Amino acid sequence: MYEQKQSPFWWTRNPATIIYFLRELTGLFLSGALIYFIVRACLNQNLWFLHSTSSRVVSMVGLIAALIHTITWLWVTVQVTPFDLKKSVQVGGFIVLMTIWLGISYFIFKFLYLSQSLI
Amino acid sequence: METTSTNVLVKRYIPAAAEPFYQTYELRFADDMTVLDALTRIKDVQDGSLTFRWSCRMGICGSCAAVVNGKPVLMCQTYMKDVKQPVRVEPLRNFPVVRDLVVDIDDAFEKMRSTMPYIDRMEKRALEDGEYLQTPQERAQINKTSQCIKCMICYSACPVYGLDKNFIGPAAGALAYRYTADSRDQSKDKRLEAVSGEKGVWKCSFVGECSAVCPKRVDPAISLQRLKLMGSLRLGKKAVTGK
Repeated sequence: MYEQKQSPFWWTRNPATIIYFLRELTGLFLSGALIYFIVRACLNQNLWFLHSTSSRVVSMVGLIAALIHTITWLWVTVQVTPFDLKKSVQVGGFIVLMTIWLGISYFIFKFLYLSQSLI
Repeated sequence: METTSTNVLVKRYIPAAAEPFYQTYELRFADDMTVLDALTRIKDVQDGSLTFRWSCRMGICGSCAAVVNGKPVLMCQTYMKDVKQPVRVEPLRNFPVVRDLVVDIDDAFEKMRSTMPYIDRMEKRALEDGEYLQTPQERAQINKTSQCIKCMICYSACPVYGLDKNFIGPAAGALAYRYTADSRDQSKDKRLEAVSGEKGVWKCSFVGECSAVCPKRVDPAISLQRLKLMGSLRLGKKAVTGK
């Protein structure tokens, strides 16, 4: 028998798999941004490096990756319930999850990130 | 009837040969000719050695699954006029090729057998007590997953199965969900434990291609995610109650 090997470029077959691959790749960008900041924080005595251009670029990349990752996964979450939900209920659930996520993000940004004790 | 001339490229494999090769056949097709009809015509008139599986010709047996122009489909449900010419026909991906378009699907069937694909009543009931009843709403829970014809198109589309043959795969996942969600079954916990292991549903990364290509719209991707959820809840229940 002839054993068929999967091509490493299987994900280029159609637009859906390309989007899937890019979505999974956002995890790498997110991790990369986090590692960058941890390393810089360890090497510096303060957090002034956050104002540098390179930090802002890395922040933007991390933010875009986080947005794509979170929005796509929150949309998937409402589709994998153990029971069938109508489309309108799925959309409503997605909006609730997005609202909770935005609320928590706002709280972290306003009361932790903007706090003078951090920068 | 008006006919159109085309070429059909078939990826062939003869056991004596080292590698597979493409063979081109010239053909004239009418509007009502499917890819399966085209291959049958080629086999009848041009090359009797061309080997492929087929049976019902009406999209219910799942035998004639193959990759046509890069997409896994049922050849009897794919019309020649609807696909880009020339037509390229290849065996299902991710399976060993026995000959030409015939692949060895034993592994996938073994995965399905491992999911306990039967209704298991832990407590038997006497005949006099009547049938095991099911409401239309309970039946509706398993309507989609009951449509699976085991054509293996989902396995061909699944990149996880392509990388790691230990994964149970989409059809086995759909089958496991079909019996777990069946109101008459009483062995849900046993089945969830059987499919929740390292080689089970947790290898699925929700690419979703299995559901996109399924000719019967079984949606195996959602079945696998639901089994993950059910398995997690079962683990939680076991941690709390010890059962």
